[in-house]
Amino acid sequence: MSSKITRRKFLTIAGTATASTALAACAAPTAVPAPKPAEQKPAEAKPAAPAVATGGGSLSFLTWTNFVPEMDTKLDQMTKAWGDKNKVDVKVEHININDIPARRAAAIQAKTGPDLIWDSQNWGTLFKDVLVDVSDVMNEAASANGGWYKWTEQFCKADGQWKTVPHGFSGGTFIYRTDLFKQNGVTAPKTYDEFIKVAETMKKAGKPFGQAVGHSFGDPPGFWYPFLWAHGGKEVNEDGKTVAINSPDTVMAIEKAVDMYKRGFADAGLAWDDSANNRSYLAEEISATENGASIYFVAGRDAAKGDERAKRVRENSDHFAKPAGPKGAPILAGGYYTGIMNYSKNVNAAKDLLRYLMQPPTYLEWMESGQGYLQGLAPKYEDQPIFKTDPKMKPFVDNLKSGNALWLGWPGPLSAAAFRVYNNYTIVDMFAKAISGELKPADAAKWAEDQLKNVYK
Amino acid sequence: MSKSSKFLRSFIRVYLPVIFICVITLFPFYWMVLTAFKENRELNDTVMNPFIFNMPPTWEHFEFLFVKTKYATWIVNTLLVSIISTTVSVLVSIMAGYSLGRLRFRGANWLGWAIFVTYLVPPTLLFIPLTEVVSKIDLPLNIWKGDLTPQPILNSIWSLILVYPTFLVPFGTWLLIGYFKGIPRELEESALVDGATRIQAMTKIIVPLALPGLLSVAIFAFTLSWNEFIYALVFISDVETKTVPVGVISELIRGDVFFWGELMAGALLGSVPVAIIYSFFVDYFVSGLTAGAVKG
Repeated sequence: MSSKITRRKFLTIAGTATASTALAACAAPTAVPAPKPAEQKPAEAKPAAPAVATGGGSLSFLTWTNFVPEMDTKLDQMTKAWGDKNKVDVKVEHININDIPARRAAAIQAKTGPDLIWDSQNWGTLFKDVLVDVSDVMNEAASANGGWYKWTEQFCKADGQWKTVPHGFSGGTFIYRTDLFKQNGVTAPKTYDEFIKVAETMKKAGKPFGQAVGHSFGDPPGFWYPFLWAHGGKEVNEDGKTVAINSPDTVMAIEKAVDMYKRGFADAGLAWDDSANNRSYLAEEISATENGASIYFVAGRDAAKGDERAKRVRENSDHFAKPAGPKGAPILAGGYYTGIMNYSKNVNAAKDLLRYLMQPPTYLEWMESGQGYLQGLAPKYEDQPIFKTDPKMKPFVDNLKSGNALWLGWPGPLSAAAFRVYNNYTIVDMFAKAISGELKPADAAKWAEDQLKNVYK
Repeated sequence: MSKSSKFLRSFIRVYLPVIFICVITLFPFYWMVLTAFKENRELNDTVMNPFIFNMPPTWEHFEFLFVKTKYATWIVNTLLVSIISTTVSVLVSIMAGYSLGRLRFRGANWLGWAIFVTYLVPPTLLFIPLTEVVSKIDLPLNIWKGDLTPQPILNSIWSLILVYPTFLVPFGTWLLIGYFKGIPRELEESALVDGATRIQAMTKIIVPLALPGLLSVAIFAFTLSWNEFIYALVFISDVETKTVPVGVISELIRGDVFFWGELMAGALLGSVPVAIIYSFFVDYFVSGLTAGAVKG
C-alpha cells in the first residue's frame, strides 16, 4: 500500500510540477507577432526573418483550413517563397471557416490583426469601409487572366471599387454511385423531374438520395436556392426590395420538394449539416448527394490507406451537374475572396502579395494543388488540366460554364439584406418546415414572406 | 425482511439510479474513447455495432495528432495558461471574497452581487471590446532575458492569462463570499482578541477552514480556463501559441470534413488533466460547492 498515491503525495507532486511549469512559463519564449521561422523549423534554418530591418516588413494572412490539405501547403509554400524573395515575413494562419467572422470582428474593432483576410460570399461589400481599394490589383489581374466572371463583381465591388479579389469557387454538384445506378437501370438525371424519378427508384432499392436541410453554410443553401430558382421562385423582385417569395412558383417548388423528399430522399437529411451527408455516402447508405467533391477526395484518401469500402466508393462514384427545372439550371454563385484590411501597416506589400497570387502561373499552380476542389473564377481556368486528367471532376466546371450562376437575392442586387436572409437560413427553413410537416407548402411560403419582409423593410 | 428483498429494495433505491446516472454521464466519455481508437473505415460503417470495437483498436488518430499537428505544444500552452490564471484568480478571489464576506462595510452586499453579475456577461459579448483593450497593452515579455522592451501581448499566451481572470475572479469571489460567511465569526474574533492581526486571522484561521471552498474555486477555474474557446480564438493567431480547444478545431475541421477520430483523440487527451484533478479532490470539491451554495 505504500506505493498508493495519496492526496498529500499528489499535492506534493502537483505542486512541484506547477512550480516547474510556472518557471518554464517565465523562461519560455513568448510568441510575438513575428516568430522566427528558424526556431520553428530547424531543418530549414536560415537567418531569423527580420521583420522591419530589411524594409519589407511583415504580413499576416488569415484564411480557412482548406479541406484539401495540399492547397494549404501550397499556399504556405508560395507565400513563403514570395516573402523570402521580397524580404517580407509572411505568416499564413489557417482556421475553421466558421471562426473567421469572430476573428474579423475583433480585428476590425481593435484595428489590429491580419493584414489580409479570406472569407466567403460578399463579405467584401459588407465590410467595404474597412477594406483597402484593390482596384489596381484587380485591373492588372483581370487583364492577365482574361477577365473574371461578370457576377464576381457583385461579390467584390462596392462604391465602384474592388474591395476583395476572387480566389476560387467550390460549386456543388451531385456525387452518385455509378454501379448502383446501373444495377437499377437509371442514369444521371438532366432535369429535376428525372432527378426525382431516379431518387425514387434508388430509395425503393434501399439506397435513397440524401440532402441536408439543416443550418449549415454549404450544402443546404447550395441545393435549395437553385431548386427554388429553377422552379421560378425568387425572394425579391429586380428592385431588390419588394419581397416576392410568396408566389405560385414558390409554392409549387415547395410542394415538389415535399414530394421529392418523401419519394426519394433519406429522412435523416432534415437533421444533417454539411458533414453528415459525407459520412452517409461514405457509409454507402445513400446513392447520391449534393457535394463539393470532398466525399470523392476523402474516399480516395482512405482508399490509399487500404480501406476497401472507400476504394469501392471512390471507383464507383461520379458527379453530375445541377439538373434543370422549368426555369433553367441555376447554381448558387459564391466563392472565396480576399481583402486587405485598412488598418494594415503594410498595404503595398499586401497588394504585391495579391498580385503575385493572382498571376496566371501562380494561380493555376495553386488551383491545381486542390485537384479541382476549387474552381477558378475566370473563364480562362475552365480548361485547367485537372478537369481533363480527371473527367469525374468535369461537372464542377460545367456548372460554371453553364453561365447560370445566380447570387443571393437574385434577381435583385447582392445586398446585405440578401446575405442576412442567407445567414438566417430562411429559404432553407421554408423548405424544411414543409418537408418536416410543420407547415403546409402555402403556409411555408407565407412564413418565409413574413421573415423576408422583416429583413427587406 | 428477507435478505433478498432487502437487496432488491436497496438495488432499486440506490444502485439503479446510480447506474442510470453513471450511464448518462459516462456515455459521452465512452463514445469519445471508442471514436478515438476506431479506424476511419469502422467510423464510416453504419452496419457494424457502433457501441463496441468491431475491429482492432488503432493508435493512428493519436499518431496524427502528435506527428501532423502541434498538439503537444497546444497542451503545454493550455497547461501554462490554466495553471497561471487559476493561481492568480484564486489568490485575488480569496482577498475579494474575504473582504466582501467577512468585513462589515457599506455596500458590501451590493458589491458582491455586482461581481456576480459581471460573471454572467457572456464572453461572446466581451471578446470584441476586450480585443481592443488587449491590443493596446504592451509588456516586457522577455524580462527574464534582461530585455525590458515592451511588446504587444496580443498573440501571446499572456493575453489569455491577463483576460481569463476577468471571468474567473468574479466566479471565485462569489463562491468564496458564501463560504467565508459560513465560518463562525467567533473563531476569527478569538484570534483577534489573542493578538492576531487581520491578515493573520485571515491566513491562519479562515483560509485553512475554507480549504474545500478554495479547492472548488481552483478546480472550476482550471476547468473554465482549460476549455475556454472564444478569447483563445481571437487573441492568438500563431499556430505555436494556440490552446487545445482552438488548435484542434482549426486543424481538424476542414470545410465539411471532420476528422472525428483525431478530434476525439484530442478531446480525450485534453480531458485527462481535468479528470485527474477531479478524482483527487472530488470530496472537497462537493463539500465546497454545497457550502458555498446555501450560505451567504
